[in-house]
Amino acid sequence: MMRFLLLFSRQGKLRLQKWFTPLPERERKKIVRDMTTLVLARKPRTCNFLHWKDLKIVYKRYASLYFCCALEEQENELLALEILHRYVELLDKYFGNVCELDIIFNFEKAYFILDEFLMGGEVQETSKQSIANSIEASDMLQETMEEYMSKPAF
Amino acid sequence: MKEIMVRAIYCEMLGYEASFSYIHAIKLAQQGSAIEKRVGYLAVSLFLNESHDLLLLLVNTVLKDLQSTNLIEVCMALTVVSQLFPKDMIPAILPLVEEKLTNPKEIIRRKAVLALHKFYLIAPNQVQHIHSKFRKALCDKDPGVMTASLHIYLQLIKNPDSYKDLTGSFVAILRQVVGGKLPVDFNYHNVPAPWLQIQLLRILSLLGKDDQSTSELMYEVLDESLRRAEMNHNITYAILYECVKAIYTIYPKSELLEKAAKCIGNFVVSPKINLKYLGLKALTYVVQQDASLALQHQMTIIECLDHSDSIIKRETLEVLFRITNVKNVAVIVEKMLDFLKNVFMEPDILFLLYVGCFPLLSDTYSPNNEWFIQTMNVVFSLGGELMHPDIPNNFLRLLAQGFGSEEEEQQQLRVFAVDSYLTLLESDTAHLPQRFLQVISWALGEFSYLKDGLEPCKVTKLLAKLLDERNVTSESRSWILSAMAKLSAGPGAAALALQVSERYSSSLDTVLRQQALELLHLSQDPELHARFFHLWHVQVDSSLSFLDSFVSEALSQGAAPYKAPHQRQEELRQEKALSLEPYSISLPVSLSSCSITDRQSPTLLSMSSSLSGNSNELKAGSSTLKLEGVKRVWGKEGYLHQQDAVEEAAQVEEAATPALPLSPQQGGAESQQTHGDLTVVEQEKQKLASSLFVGLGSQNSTFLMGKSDSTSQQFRRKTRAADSTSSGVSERSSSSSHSSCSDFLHNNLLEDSQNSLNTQKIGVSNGTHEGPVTQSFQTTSKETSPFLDAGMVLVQPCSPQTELRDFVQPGSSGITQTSLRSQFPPELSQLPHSDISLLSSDHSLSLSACRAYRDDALLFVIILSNCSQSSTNGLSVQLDCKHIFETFSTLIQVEPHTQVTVAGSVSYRAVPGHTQTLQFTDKLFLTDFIRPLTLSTEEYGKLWLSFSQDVRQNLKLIQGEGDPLRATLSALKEQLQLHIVDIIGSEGIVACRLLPDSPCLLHCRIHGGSLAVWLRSPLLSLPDCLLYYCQKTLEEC
Repeated sequence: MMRFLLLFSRQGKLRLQKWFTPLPERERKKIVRDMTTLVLARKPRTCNFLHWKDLKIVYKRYASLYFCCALEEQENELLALEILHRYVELLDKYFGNVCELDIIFNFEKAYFILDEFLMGGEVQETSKQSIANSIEASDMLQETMEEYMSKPAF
Repeated sequence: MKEIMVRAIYCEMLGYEASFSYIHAIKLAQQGSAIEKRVGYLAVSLFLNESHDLLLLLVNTVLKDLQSTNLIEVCMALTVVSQLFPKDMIPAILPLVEEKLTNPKEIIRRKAVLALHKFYLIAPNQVQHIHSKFRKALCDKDPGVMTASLHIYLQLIKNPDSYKDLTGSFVAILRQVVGGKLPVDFNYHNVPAPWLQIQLLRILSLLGKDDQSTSELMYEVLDESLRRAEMNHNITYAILYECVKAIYTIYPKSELLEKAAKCIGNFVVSPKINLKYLGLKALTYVVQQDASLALQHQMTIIECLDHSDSIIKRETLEVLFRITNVKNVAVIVEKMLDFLKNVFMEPDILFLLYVGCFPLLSDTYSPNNEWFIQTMNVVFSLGGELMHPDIPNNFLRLLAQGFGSEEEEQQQLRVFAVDSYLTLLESDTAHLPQRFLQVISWALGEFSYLKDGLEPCKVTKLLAKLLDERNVTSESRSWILSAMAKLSAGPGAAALALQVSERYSSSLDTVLRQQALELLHLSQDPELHARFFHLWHVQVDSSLSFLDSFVSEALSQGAAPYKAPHQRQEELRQEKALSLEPYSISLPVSLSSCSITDRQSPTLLSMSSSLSGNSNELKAGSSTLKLEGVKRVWGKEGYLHQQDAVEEAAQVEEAATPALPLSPQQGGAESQQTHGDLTVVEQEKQKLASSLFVGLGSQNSTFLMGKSDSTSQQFRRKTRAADSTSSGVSERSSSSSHSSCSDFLHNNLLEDSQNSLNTQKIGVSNGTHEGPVTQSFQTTSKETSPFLDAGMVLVQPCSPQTELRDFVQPGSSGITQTSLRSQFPPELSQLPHSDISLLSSDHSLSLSACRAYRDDALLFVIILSNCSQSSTNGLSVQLDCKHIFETFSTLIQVEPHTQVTVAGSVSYRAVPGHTQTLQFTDKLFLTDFIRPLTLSTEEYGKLWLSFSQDVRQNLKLIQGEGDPLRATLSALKEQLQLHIVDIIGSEGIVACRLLPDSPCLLHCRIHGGSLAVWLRSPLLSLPDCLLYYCQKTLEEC
């Protein structure tokens, strides 16, 4: 099971956080701090895996963003790497050539995509197409509702 | 509002407090339109914690949305439920989520399954009743739902027994997936549904673990996945890795193992660093079962050791650590220390290191004490304050108790320690970490007397110097002071101690001041000193048995019995869950059903049932597990390959020549050899390799053999552990009964009277166990019985009676079993008795014995028969049995034995003036002294609480038709004469007593296919012994 997923920039600014197990606020902040320092300190051409307490940290850099997730002991690191990659693919498909700014300005969308992809720390849906479909379905609803709401009330 | 909420989320993410917006988030989720609801739910799931109070306000919203007809709303509700939901609220929404499992939309089914998975993780008891629905989800026509259900199964199958029947379906699914039968959009980089594959592989490895028949089902499909996953992409490597792991977890098959080993090879030599990492990881996993596999990759491992990435280095060390054995331990530990010095402090590596060399020393006959102490010194000074506190503690315990080796060696170890510490203290001490100082001072305080010619005064002086060091913390100071207190008895030391204590008795630290004053008093009064340190070996009654009477008194006055904390929690949880029912008014939950569950208040029975012996499992933490993996390797090697090692060393000496002749077992190195010219660096590497891989797996053993070898070894170890208690006891008993057989019972029992057929003259003795034998005659008044004036030997030490009846029947030659039986005294034949067995015989006399079970005693009947035609004279029987007679009431009650030996001899005169003796031995088992104890359930409950000794164990269940518990218990009853007090549901209580009147209570419960037995008795080892017989009985059934 994945414990948490963090997205942060090269400067260590958090862009997205998702916790799959309940943690107190203080603990979360500490973990975020630890992760950014640990991951940012890694030199290029080292492996993408780290150990942190009893968790395995898998991270990958896409452009200026670091995607970093924590796994439990028995999980497969390579697979987690692919989960991150699949998430990036999904974002890419949704935003069309995704960049950091997309995520900054539409981070709630990024959360919604993540919610469709992972649920409770496990992969929910691996089919790219069906995720896109469900996101689109809720977005459609959103648009129509927005239109509906923006209509003048008689 | 939506925009504002999004801004608030962003603020919170950047680390600014936005708690004012929490309530608005909930409101938004509750009242907003669909789009606002979505943002509201997102905000709630990001802001709130599972224990947050505001979350209660969300429950109703979730309930409403779950019942909504809008697909999107239901999806949102399910998402938030799986993200965060208060544990005690689960019952409220569970029926609704369950209902969603049959929803026509696959996305809702999928989410519902994942929500249930989440529920299972946080509260497994509450979803127990829907396991059958999971099976339905597994057979769902939509692959997405099926994938989701696998998450649940992966959790469930941690306890695999009840899911073995699903193996076939999992294998079928995997075969379909591998065969590419799934829709194309499940493909990922042209690999069909990799996540699904990996999940299935994991499940299969759990199912096939230690189970040959199940494993056989999956060999084929595993082979196929190995074959199919040949593309060069990360995801295929992930599948391969899982495959290899599965192959090494399930019951081994040689071809697959070969392929898997080749796969690992590809990983390790890969230039991609992530794959290298994974390969090392796989190696760590594999070498636990087959150390020789590391040989093939030794050069790679050596290269990895110098890798620039410290993570890779760490993994390499982990591999090395697992192949540690007697010969390479020094090299490996040196490498690890290098790593520590150069890179950064990592406490867990230190711990590994410690765990690495610690069992080595205890395992092999302590190859080098000096080396051990010195290594530990380095570890302590390097580790500093970061070190795990267990390390110094364990080390001190090791010093204090030794590791079971010779006393002499322990002393040697201690002297070494004292020596090295003294040298350390004499040099500069400023850089030593505090933990190390504490260890030093303790060791000096305890053991410095062992070193000849060392004045305590000198040690005290050194310690005093240390005490004045500025950077020493007050905690270390108090360690030093207590060490000085131990040493202060010596003549010179007293004065110094006085000086020190005066200085510190005005210290601001109260602990230090107290210790200084103690030191003062102890050093001034040698008598007090001696008495004080003598007192240290006080025995502690850990079972708190002195409170038993208090407890039973309190119970009889109506106090509630003690419940273990976790049980209380469980009850509390149940109550809580129930009290929350009103929240779900909309749900069709009948009140009566909850009141029934409420009634299930803990009876005595359920109280006693809950604690199953988990403590052992708990103790086996990760470190000990690793330790075990290592031991297996060492245990196998050791002495045997010493010669190889010498040879290799010799070959390394010759390394001047470019082509290094290596012994055949270094298969991996041979490829290097073909390269021809080796650089100096490579030579060094090879040297290192040969020293690292020394003693690893003999050259001839293929890895398959290594594997099966290790499993069998494991098995052996297990059985040994199981036997250890019983065999230990029986050995003890037999040895003590052999030694010093007292002539306690020395009576002239029989005098032959002429040729009459049924004549007996019997001496009756009535001995008490402490005094000399007093003889008295007691004649039974049964005139009618064939043995008219049959006397009885009533040996009555306390109360287990042994009646000796002997009668001689000259003239009846060729005795058969039946004829013996016919001569069996009728009053005994009514009692249950064992078969008459012939103990010994010679040409004129044969001796048989039989045990008859009276309700209050065991009758040991010796039957002598005269098989010759002539008469015998001057018969005397002598019995030696220390345990039964002398000590039955005292010793056995302290330590019951599973069996005792009765030995004896009969002497007689066949020819006048010529005495012959006939030796015999027989065994009496504990079961002979066990009688049923008739009790009512209430009495049982009372008794149960008043006993302190308890033992728990899982036993085999007898599988037959009908209730397995009933069948098992009645089998035990038959064989061991137990009394079944009551059977309620899956629990049964059984009682018995050891003669004369030591009760033993058994509480049995069906627990996951085995019988969890919990025994209690006032006697120390009675439960142990009884358990042994229970085990034996059930195994024979």
